[in-house]
Amino acid sequence: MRFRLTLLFPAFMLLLSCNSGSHCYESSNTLVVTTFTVNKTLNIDSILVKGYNRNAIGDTLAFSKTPALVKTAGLPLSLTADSTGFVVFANGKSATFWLKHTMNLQLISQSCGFAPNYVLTASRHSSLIDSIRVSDQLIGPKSVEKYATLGQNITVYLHLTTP
Amino acid sequence: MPLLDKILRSIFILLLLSPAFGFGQEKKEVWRYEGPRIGIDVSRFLMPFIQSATKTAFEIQSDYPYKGNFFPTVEVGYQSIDDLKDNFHYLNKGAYGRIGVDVNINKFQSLSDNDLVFVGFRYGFSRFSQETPSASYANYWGTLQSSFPKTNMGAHWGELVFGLKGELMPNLFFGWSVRAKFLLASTKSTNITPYVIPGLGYTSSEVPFDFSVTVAYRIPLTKTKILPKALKSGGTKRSDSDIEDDLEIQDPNNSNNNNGVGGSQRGRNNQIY
Repeated sequence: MRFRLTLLFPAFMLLLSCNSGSHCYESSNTLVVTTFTVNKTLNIDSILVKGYNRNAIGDTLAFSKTPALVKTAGLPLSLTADSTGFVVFANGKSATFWLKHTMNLQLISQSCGFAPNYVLTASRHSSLIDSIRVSDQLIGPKSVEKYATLGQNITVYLHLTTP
Repeated sequence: MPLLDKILRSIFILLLLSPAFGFGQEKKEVWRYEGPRIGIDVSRFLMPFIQSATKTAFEIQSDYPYKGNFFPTVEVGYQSIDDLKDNFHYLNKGAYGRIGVDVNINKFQSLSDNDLVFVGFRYGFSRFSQETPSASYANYWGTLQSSFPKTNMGAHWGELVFGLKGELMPNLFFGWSVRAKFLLASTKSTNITPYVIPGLGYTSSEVPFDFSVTVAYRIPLTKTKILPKALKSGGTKRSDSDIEDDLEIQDPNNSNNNNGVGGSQRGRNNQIY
């Protein structure tokens, strides 16, 4: 028995040393997965999204010059205000939309720390946007997984005329 | 290094002298000693050197033999964690208790053989508090600084245990156990689900595994000539053939071993001192 104890004890010390709790393998980036489209009938040739009143270099949230029927972007929401505004430049025209939300900071894990969780409560938009459809009003760090399933939190229907 | 050398020398001398610590055993007669075993989990003291968070913990374990192979067990402890990360500071502290039973699956080879291979289960419960003095999150729109006050919480869980316990010196035991734990219920919190629960461990895994390394002392309250039967061959129930086996185990050099045959004589061998 003493031999067995001696033999197996180091194995447990190895087990003890396998404490890999210092790496974050989860997403802690909370983004609204947003799809831009023109009723899926007209290509969006180019698109650029910025935060409202954010005009400095490097303030661009999404940019694409590849024509496509649907464009998807992950947009961060404000941490302190109860609504967040975005400006969209599509096919040379600009539009603004606002998302109203509540926020709750939650602990994800020991290694990843805290991340905000939002609930979308309302939206409003300027004339270039036809409508905004909310598919999933709960926005959390796992929302970015919607990219993989071609899902989204909101769909912004742009009102673009045929070129 | 001189300190380590001194400690190793002391342990070596203790091991050499260990037969001298008989605690009242008669040299020519072999008895089986029984009594409550009280120990500490020394692995709790090693944790601060291995894990990233500042952790303080201690645990006392106690068991008592029942019908030879069953060991009802009580474990109590305290754990405190101060986890200071780049983007948050988390405090968690509280007391816990566990009750359960260990079942020895090892066959005792002789009256002086007290080594155990055991499986068991525990029911654990904890009362603890958690607090986040600071938490921050940054994104495109800026940085949010927040904090969460101290909240009192509770948790219940079950454990499956496997381990070994060996008698290194008379009445002094060393052993380890590995445990699979199952969280049954815990207090819900809107913002912070505790990632560690005193007594349970880290909750990041659905089945947290833990281990303990125990150094324990058995208080030899009773002595007996009865060798518990292994569970595989009929548990602790005894037959006439078992009684004959026991008589064979007794020290042939001892002229006082005229126990005869029969259960009544067996009763006289149980002594309390």
